[in-house]
Amino acid sequence: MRYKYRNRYIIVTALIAVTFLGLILGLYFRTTASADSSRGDTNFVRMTSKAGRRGPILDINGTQLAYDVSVYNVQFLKDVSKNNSSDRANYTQSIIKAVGIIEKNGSKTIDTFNIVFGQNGTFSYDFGDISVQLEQQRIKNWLSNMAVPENMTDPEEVYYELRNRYRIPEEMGYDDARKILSIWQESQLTGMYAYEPVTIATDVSYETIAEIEVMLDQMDGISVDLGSKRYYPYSELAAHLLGYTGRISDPDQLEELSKKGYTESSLIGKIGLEYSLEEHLSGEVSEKRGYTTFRIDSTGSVKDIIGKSDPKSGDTVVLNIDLDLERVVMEALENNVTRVRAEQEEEYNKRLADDKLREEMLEELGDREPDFCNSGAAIVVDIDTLDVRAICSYPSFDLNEFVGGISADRLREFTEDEATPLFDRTIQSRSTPGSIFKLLTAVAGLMENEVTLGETIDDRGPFTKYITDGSDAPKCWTKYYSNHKAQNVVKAIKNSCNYYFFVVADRLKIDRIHKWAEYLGLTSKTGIELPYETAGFVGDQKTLYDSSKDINEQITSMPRLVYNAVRKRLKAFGAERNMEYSSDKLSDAAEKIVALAGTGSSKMGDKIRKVLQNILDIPEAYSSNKGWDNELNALLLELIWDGTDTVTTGIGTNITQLTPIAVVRYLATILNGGKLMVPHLVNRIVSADGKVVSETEKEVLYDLEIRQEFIDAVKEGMKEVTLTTDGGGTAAKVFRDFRYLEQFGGKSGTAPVSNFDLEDNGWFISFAPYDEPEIAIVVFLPHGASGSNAAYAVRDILEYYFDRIEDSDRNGRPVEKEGSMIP
Amino acid sequence: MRLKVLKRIDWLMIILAAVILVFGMISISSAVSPASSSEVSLFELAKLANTEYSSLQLVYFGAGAVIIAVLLFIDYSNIGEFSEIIYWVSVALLAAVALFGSEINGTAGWFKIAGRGFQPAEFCKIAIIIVIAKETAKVTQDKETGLDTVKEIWPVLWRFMIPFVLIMIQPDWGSAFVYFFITAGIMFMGRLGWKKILVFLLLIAVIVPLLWFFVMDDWQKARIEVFLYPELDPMGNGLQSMRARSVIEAGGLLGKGFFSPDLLTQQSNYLPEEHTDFIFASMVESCGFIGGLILILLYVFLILRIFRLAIRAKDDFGMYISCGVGFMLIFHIVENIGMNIGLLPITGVPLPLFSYGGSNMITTMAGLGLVMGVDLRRQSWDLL
Repeated sequence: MRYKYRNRYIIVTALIAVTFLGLILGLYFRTTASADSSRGDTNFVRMTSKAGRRGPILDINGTQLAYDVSVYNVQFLKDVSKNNSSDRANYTQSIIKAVGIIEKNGSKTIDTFNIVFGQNGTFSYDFGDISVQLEQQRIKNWLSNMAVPENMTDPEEVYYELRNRYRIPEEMGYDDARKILSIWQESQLTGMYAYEPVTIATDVSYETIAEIEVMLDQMDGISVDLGSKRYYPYSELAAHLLGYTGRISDPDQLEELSKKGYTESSLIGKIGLEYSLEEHLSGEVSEKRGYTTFRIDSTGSVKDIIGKSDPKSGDTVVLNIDLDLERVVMEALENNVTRVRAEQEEEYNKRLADDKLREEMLEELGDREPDFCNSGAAIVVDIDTLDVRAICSYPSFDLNEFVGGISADRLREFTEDEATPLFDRTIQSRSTPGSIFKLLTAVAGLMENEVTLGETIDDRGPFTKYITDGSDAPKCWTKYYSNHKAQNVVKAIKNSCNYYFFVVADRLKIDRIHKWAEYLGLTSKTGIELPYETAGFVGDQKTLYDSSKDINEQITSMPRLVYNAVRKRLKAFGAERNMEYSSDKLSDAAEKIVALAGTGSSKMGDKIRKVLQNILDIPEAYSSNKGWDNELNALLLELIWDGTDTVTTGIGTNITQLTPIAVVRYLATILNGGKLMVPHLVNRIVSADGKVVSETEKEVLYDLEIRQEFIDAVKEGMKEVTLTTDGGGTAAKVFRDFRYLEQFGGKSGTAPVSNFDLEDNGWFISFAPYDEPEIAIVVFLPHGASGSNAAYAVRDILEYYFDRIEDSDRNGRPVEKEGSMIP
Repeated sequence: MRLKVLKRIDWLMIILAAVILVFGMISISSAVSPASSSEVSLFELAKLANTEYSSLQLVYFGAGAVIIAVLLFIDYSNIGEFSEIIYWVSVALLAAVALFGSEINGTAGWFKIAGRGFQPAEFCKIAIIIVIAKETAKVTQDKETGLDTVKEIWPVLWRFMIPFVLIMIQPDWGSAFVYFFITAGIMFMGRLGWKKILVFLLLIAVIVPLLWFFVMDDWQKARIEVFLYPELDPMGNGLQSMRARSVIEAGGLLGKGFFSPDLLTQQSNYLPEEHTDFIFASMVESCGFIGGLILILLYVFLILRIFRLAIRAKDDFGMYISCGVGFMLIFHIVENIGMNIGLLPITGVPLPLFSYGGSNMITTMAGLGLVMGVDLRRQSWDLL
């Protein structure tokens, strides 16, 4: 019956035989290919890639502020097919020789091995400061990637296993073995990219290279490579804005970036412009890498190169910064800080010598040492475009110390330094502005028609309108308020008369003050091209205490302080009644009581009594009798915005805190007629082959259309600040005999930060030239004692600015440098 | 009576399957075990070896054995009665997975059941064998002529087309080709006329370029391009192929031995899918050409045995079923080994009984169960 299928059966059987014979032959040729090298070559095509150089950063005149320089690196590459024990021994010998040569000539090899031998004589894993869970995960991955036998987790056991695997000579101690193991570890962890060499030492000396090249044939796997490293020729200058680069430390980030072409050894910008312009500067991305495709035979040696493309450099970034000006600003700031500190110490010692003054001072200070000026920030911007021409945070640090990784000890020195050199004060510090805020009150008052240019207001001493309980009323800084009679806007700015601005602020009320602060960009980040910018804030009820938010999510620490005080009182009440409340109960009650400050009423006694009764079982009559309700009510008043808060906000005190970058933008915005702009550090970005990738344009967010006559009044008042005429402005002393008087304006701001007057913050803002303002300047001295103290740096900056104009006038030709400060 | 049945079971098949399985288990264990740093004793080796996958493999085999036992009790003619139901249930499953399935390795053909992946395309291979065999048998049973007229071919053809298209949508080209190969094989055994065969071949020659330009996804094209020119993409798709070839070359004539510390596969991630799709390469590195040859010969014996049993089946339906199973295995084996040694493009087709994985183990065992069941019920022939 099956006969009818006989033919087809035979055909199928034959086909099966032929097919499988084909498979067998294919397999035979494949397995014996390595013996016959002519057959093996087609199968070993490898490709390596090399990153392009990181693009340079230039100032507006083309001076290089950051660029890559060539360095020699030593690399190690293990052939994947050489994997038996004697191969490993051979490689280890090579590595030992290479490490010896590198160290003899004063360089260091990589030190990444994740098992450390502690001082207490035990081994442990070291994956840096990470959570326990994350560390467990990393250890697990590491063990698996290192192909350590399963169930072997003890670091000591693993250490000896790896020593054994890589045939590290037994007599070698931990420290030396660690260097060898670091290199083996990196080689092993490259996994999929086993044909990528591991860099074992960077930036080695010429002697090292010479010595290695001679011995190359005795050092299997070792090679020399031309690499590059970042160099910052002006080291400390503009350090905060340039930033530095470093290794990719986060594995998740590495995974993300590796899709774009980055590798484990890639450097990325960590802070500053190096961070925010990473995508432009980097030569690590796939499109910029150069690729070499080559064939190797099964012994691992390169047979021929199939294709090669050169890497492309990252884009060139041109800044608006003028390096010469930046240097002047830096020096001016440094001199200013030194001078102020010396004056403060002198004054301090003088007061110590005087019995009466000493007692007064010690009362203000308590037990602590006074904080004197040791740092500062200064920014110069173009008023019309908000281009940043100089931006400087003092003290600074040498960027070159961070190239190739900074040692933990050195980093600790930086972080433990009282003056915090790594902290960028221009965009990250915020502080009470003091009188420099008065320009806002003036402009808002004029624009909202609450005060006219001609109206005069007399200083009447304490501003008592909102004082009901006999506490101290806010008043002007002058001892004799009769000095500030009949103040108009110009005079009020000149004299920085608090009383005038109390009145204007009172007419405006807090909502409109806050609105104008928003308009003038004081409550938001400016959007400058730097990471980690902080936003300032200006006082109002929501800023002081927002009852819709949790106590820990408030903008200021005031609600937390009140909460703590309330909680402490509640505990004391309990003690008085011989009751001990649970922690939860106390917190609950304190939270409910603090929340009463959000109800809008200032009389909260009955509600407080109810909370005390309901949660803490204190009868209403009892707490009323004891006056506890009033006591707590008084604490809560701290969180309720009142008229006094409004008027003190109007003069720049109260809870308001601003960043220097926002302050300089605020001044520029008033002077340019109300065009709020984004400050820009970057002028343009140009690709390595000269094409303009992007050009920064003036970015006007909106125009407040401030009337010219109001601007003129502000300018006039600011000019008067610096003049000695008519009793003298607040900064007249600093500018006495200054060559360029009357050609600029300024405003000082002194903001108390403690009871001790020498610790006050000092601000000074300025613009120049007077007739057609071109630049706006801010100098901020934390603990600078007074606003006029910050004017010294401004004076130096202005002198340089005007000297340059004069220079070019005298020479009768404009300075050729593009974008220079000469109009 | 029971004894008689046991005696009639084709034990050779079971023995061949078991030998391949054990060979595979050792290979899998060797491929996934970490490097041992120096010479170790057998005892230490046993401690270090990773037996997680190979034990699971044994469990899958056990499950497959149960399925064989069950199939032996069912007369395949009864299964044939339900051919239509089996067919439409399979189509529904494939349609459902195309619509709601989840995606693994770029293919959407998976259902997640109790945390494990489940691939209908895999089990439906058995269904399509039964259905195509049934339809072909309807035409050829008790006739001297084979499939010839369009009217005779059409019922077979459309039953093949629907699941084929559904699987292409997923897209799972490996499985789709298995379906094609099974159908073509059964039709060939059904004595499809030579002229018709020629027409089909011409049709394919026209359709394939059309597919390339209008249907195939970029990643599928990439796989084929990279297969042809692995140096095009030494970082991505070509890597698997190149690595598999280096691993095989490293094996040489005699191999490095199982669990050898010199194995390339022990370098982390050196060869992706070292215990599943590329287990053949891993094994060859350990056992060399000789090991590969032994495995291929084992498969040849198994397949020839299947066709031997097929040809002595009592009726056409039984014969077609056995042939279908045979063709399914041929395709799997040739494609998998072919891609391992770099002769064929990479598709995710497993190596029956050898590579790690539950779905294919069950399918293969069920297939063998059907073949043995057909053979068990050839009384008419036996009594003659």
